[in-house]
Amino acid sequence: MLTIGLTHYLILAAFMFCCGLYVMTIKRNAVGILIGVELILNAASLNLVAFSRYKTGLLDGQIVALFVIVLAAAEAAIAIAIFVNYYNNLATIDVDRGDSLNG
Amino acid sequence: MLFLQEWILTLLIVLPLVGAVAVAIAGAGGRPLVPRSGENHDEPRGPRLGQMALAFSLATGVLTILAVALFFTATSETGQNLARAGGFALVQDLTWVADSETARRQIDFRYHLGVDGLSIWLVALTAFITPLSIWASFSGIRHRQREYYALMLLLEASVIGVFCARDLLLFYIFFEFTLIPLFFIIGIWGGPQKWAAAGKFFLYTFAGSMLTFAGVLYLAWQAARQGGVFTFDIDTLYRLQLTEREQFWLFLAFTAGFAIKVPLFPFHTWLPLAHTEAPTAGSVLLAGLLLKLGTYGFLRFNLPMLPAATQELAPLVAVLAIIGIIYGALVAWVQDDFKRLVAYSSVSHLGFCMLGMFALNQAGLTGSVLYMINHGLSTGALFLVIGMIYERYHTRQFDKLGGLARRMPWMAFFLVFFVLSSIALPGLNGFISEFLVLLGTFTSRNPLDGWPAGPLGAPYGVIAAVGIILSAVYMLAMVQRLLFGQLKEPEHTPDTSGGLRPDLTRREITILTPIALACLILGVYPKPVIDSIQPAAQQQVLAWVYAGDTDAAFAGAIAPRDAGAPARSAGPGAKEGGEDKDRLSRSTVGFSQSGFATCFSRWGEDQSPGFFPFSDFSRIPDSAVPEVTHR
Amino acid sequence: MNGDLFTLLAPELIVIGGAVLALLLGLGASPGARSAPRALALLSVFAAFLVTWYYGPSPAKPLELAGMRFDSLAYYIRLIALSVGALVLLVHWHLPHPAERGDVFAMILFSLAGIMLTSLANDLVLLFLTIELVSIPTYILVSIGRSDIRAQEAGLKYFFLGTLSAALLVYGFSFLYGAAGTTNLSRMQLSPAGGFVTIGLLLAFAGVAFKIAAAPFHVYAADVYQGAAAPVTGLLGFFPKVAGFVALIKLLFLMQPSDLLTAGWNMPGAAFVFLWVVAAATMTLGNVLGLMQTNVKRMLAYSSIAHSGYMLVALLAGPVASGGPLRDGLSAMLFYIVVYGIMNLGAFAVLALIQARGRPAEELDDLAGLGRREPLAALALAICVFSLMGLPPTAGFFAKVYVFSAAISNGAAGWHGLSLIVLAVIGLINSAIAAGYYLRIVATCYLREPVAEPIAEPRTAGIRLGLLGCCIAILVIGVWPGGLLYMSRLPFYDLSAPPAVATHSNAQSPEPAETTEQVYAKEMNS
Repeated sequence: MLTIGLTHYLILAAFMFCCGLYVMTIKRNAVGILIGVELILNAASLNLVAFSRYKTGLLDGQIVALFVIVLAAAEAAIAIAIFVNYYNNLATIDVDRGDSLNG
Repeated sequence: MLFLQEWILTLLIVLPLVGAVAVAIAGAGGRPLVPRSGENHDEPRGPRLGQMALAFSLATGVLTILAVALFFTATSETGQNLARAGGFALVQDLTWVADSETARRQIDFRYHLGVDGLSIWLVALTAFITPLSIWASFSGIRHRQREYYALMLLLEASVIGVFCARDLLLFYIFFEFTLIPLFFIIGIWGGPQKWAAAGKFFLYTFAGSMLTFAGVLYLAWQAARQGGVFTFDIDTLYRLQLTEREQFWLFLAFTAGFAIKVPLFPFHTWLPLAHTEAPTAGSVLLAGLLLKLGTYGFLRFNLPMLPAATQELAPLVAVLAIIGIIYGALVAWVQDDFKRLVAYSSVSHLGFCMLGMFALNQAGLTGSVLYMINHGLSTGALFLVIGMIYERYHTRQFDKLGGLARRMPWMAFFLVFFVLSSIALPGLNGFISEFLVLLGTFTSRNPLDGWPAGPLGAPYGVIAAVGIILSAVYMLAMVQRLLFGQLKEPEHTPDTSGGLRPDLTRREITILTPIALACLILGVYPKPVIDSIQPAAQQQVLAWVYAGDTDAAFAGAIAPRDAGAPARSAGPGAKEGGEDKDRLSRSTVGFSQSGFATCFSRWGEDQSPGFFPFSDFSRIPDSAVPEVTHR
Repeated sequence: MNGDLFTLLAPELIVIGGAVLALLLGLGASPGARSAPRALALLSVFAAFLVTWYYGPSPAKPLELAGMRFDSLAYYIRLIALSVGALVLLVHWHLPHPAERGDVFAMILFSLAGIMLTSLANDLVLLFLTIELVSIPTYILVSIGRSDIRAQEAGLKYFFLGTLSAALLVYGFSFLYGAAGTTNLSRMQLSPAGGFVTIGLLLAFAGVAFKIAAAPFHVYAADVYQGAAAPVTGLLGFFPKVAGFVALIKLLFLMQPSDLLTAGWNMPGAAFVFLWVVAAATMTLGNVLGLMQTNVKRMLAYSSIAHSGYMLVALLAGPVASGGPLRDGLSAMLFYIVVYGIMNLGAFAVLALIQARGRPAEELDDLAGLGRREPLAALALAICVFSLMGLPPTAGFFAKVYVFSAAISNGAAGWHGLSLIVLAVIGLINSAIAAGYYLRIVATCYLREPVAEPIAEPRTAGIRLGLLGCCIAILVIGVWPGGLLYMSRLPFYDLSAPPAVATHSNAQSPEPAETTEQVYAKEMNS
C-alpha cells in the first residue's frame, strides 16, 4: 500500500502551479485568469501545509496558509472592483479587447 | 597673498558661475518667472546681457593674469620657484566627501585644484578666448540671449575647472559638465542641422566618457587596494602599481573618452558636423578649448599613469594621428564649405598634437602643449573671421563668394594672417609648435636630451611632414578662392543689419587684434611659455613615463615616498616638489653621465646661444636634469 | 527606546491611522471635509517622520519582536520612504477629483505604511503580506478616477501581473519554509547548496522581479506607466521598487553566515547567474526599448526598468566588509533607490504640472518648446533628466559612482569578480545608450519651438512645491553626497557587526579597526 508522503503533496502542488500558469496564459476572460492566480496561491498553501505537517510538525506553516487564503480573498475583492470598472468602459471583460496600450 | 594663492583658482571657476547666474536672473528681470500666454520672448534686449557676460568674463581674464603672475612667483617650501621646477602651484586641497564616522578613512574625494606649467597656459587660453567669443556674439546672437550668455559663462567655468582639477573625480565632473552648455549652444543657436549636430556631439562624447568612467573607478579601486583608501587624488594614482594587462585595458578605457574628444581618427566623425553647425562662438570654443580637453586628458592621465601601455601603444596612436593628419588635410582640401574646411583642418592639426605627445620626449611634449595653445588661438580666430563673413553673406559656400579682399580689406588681412599662423609660417606661433612636434618625432628614437629612447622615429616624422605641405595647400587655396579674383557675392548682401558694415566693424577688429598679437608674440618670443611648459612636461609627464625604465641596481636606492602610500617609483612630481628634490638627487644617478645629457650640455657650450633660437633648450635648469629617474 | 510594540511601531501606526481617517473624511459631503484628507495625509507623514527621527537608529543590538526586526535598515527605509512619500503627496495634491481625494491619499498612505513594514518584516509571512500591502493600493491608484480606457486597461494588466508575482513569491516562500523549517528570517540559516533553497529563491526572485520591473518580467511597466496618471506613475517608480529591493536584501541575507561579510553574497551559483543575467538584460532591454519610444511616459517607464537593472548590479556586488562605502554594493543600492525615486518623481511631476495647466503631456511633441513656454518647469525637467542620465553635478552622478564602483571593486576571486566588472561595463555602456532618449526629452524642451501656449492657470502650488523639493534634493545630494551616503551606510554597520560575533572577535583583538584591516589584508592577499 502506497503511503502518501511529502513528495506527493509537493508534486500535486507543482501540478497545480503549472495548471495555474497554463490557465493564466490561455484564458482571455478576466475571471478565468483570476482563477489561474488562485490555483497558484493554493499550490503555495498546499506546499506550506505539507511542509508544516511533514517537516516541522508545528502549526506555523498552516497559519501562513491561512494568511494566504485571506490575501487571496482581498485580491479577489480588488479584482472585482477593477473588472467592474473595466466592464463599464469596454462592456466586456475579455482582456484582449484592451489593446490601446502598446509600443 | 597666501589666501589669494590658495583661492584664486576657485575664484576663476566661481566667477563665471556667478556671472552665469547673474545673467540668467537679470535676463528674467521684470517678467514673471512663469510667463503668461501671448508674451513675446524674442524681444531684443539689446547687448545689455551680452555686456554683462562680457564684463564677467573679462573680470575672469584679469584674475587669470593675476593667477599667471602668482604662478610664476610661487615658491615651494624650500624656496624653489615652482614654475621653473615644473611643480604645482596655487594648490587648494579641501576634503569634499570622506567618511568621518570610522577611525580608518576609506573614501576620499577631494576638491583639489592646482596648476603647473602645462595647465596654466590652457587656463589662460580659456580666459582669453571666452571673452572674445562672447564679444563676437553681440551681432550674431539675436534671440534667447539670456540663456546664451549664461551658457557661455558656464562653459568657461567648467573648462577652467577641467584644467585646474587635481582630483580625478573632480576632473571627470568638470569634463562631463562641459557637455551640457555646449549641447545647448550648438542645439539652440546652430545652423540648419543643429539638432543632429548637437545630439551627435553629445552622444559620441558621452559614450566615450562612460568607458573612461569605468577606468576612473577601477583606478580608485586599485588605490584602495594598494593604499587602503578609495582616493581619486592624481598624485596617488600616479604611484599605483598596475600590471601591463591592467594598464592596457585602462589605456583603452581612457582613450575611449579622450580620443573622441580630441578627436583622433577614426573617432572624428562628430566633429565636422558639430563645428559647422555651431554658432561662431560655439565653434571657437569647441575648437579652441573643448578639443584640448581630450589632449590634456591624454597628457595628464594616459601618459604618466599608464606608462607601460603608453610606450607599447604609442606607435598605434601615432599611426592614427598621422592618418588623421593626412586624411583631415585631404578632406579639408575638397570641401565646398569653408567652415567645414577649417573644421577638418582641426582634425589634421590635432593629429600633430597627438603625434608630438606620443613621441614621448621633451621636444615633442613641449611642442604638443604649445600646439594646443596655438591651435586654440589660430583656429579659434579663423572661426571668428569665418563667422564674421557668414554674418554678412549668410553663406559659407566657396562658389557663392569670391574676391572679398576688395570688399573687406580688414577681414582679408586678418584671414591671411591667421591662415599663415595656422600653416605654421616661421615667425608666427604655429611654426614653433609644429617644429617642436616634428623635432620630437624625428628624434624620438635618438633623443637629444638624454631621455630614454621613445617609440616613434623618422618614418613617422616624414609622413607627418607631408601634412604640413597639404595644410599649406588647402589653406592657401581657401584664401585664394575667398579673397582674390572676381568679386562675387550673393544678392542683397552684405547684410548690414544689427550695426554691421560691409567690412569689419571696430568691435570686430578689436576682437581679432589681441589674438593676432598673441600669435605674433608666441611666434617671436615663446621663451617664457616654453620655459614653463618644459620643466612641467619633464616633471609631471616624462619622469613618470620613464620611471619604470630605471636600472634594477638603483631600484633599491629609491625609497618609497612614505610607508603608507604604494610607491611605483620615487618619481618626481610630488605635491611638494621641493621636498622631494633632495631625496631624488641623492637616490638617482647623476644624469650627466649618460650620453645624451653630455651631448646636450655640449650643445649649450659650443653653439651658444643654443640650438633653438627661441628658447633656451640648451640650458635646462639644474633641477630638471637629474630628475630623470634612471632606475 | 523600550520594547513596547506600540512605541516601536508608532510611525507605521500614525501613517495607517492617517490613512483610515483620510478614507473616512473623504466620504464627507462638505467641501471642507473633502479637502481635509490631503492635509491630513501630509501631516501624518510629517508626524511619522519626526517620530522616526526622534527615536533614531536602533541601538547596537537590533531588537526582534513579533516577527519584526528593528534595525538600521528599517530606520533608513522608514526615513527615505517618508521623505519621498511627502514629495509624492505634494505631487498628487491637485490631481484627484475632490470626491476621490480621500481614497487616493489613503491608498498612498497605506502603500507607504507597507514599505515601512516591509523593512521591518522578519518573518516570511509578514514579508509577503507587507509587500502585498505596498502593491494592492497601487493597483487601485492606477485605475481609480480615470474614465480613460487606457487607465482601465493599465489597471487590469498591472493587477494580473501583480497578483501573479505575489503568487510566485508565496510559492517560492513555501519552499524556503520547507527548507528551513521556520518562517522566522533570523532563525532561517539556509545553506546555499540545498535544492529547495535554489527553487525557492528563484521563484521568489521572479516574484520580486515583477515588483521592481526587472526583465523578463518588465513587460507590463511601459503599458502601466503610460496608462496611469502622471503623479501615480512617479509613485510607481519608487514604492514597489523599494519594497521589492528590501525583500531581495532580506532574502539574500538568509544565506549569509552571520560572521562573514567579506566578499559579497553567499548565494547559490544558479541564483548569482540568474541575477547577473537579469541585471544585464534589464539594463539593456530597458534602454534599447526606451530608444524606440515617442511617448515620454513610456520612455520614462523603460528608463525605470533600466534603473532597476543598475540597482541590481549594486545589489549583486553586495556588502563587502572592507574597503569603505565605494565597495559596499548594499549601501550603493540604498543610495541609488532614493536618488532614483526622487528624480523619477520629479520628471513625472513636470508632466503632471503640464497636464494640470491644461496641456497634454504624453507624446514627446507635447513637450516641444517647453523651455520657452514654461522655463522653470523645463529647467526642473532638465535637472531631473540629466540626473537620470547621470551627469554631474546631480545626485544621479554620485549614485552612478557608488553603484558601478561597488561592482568594479568587488574584487571577488575568479570569475565572480570579473563577471561583476563586465556587468559594470555593460551598465556604463547602457548609460550611454540611455543618454540617447534622455537627450531627446531635453532637446525637445529646449531646441524646438513651442507649439502651443498653456491654456489654463489652475492652482498648482502643491505640484510645484513637490517639484521644487525634488530638484533641490537632486542638486544638494549631487553637490554634497556625504550625508545620504552616511545614512545609507547605517544598515551596513548594523549587519556587519552582529552582536554575537562582535564579542567573539573582540576577545581576540581589542581594536575593531584592526580586525577590519586584517580581514582586508587577508582578502587582498588571496
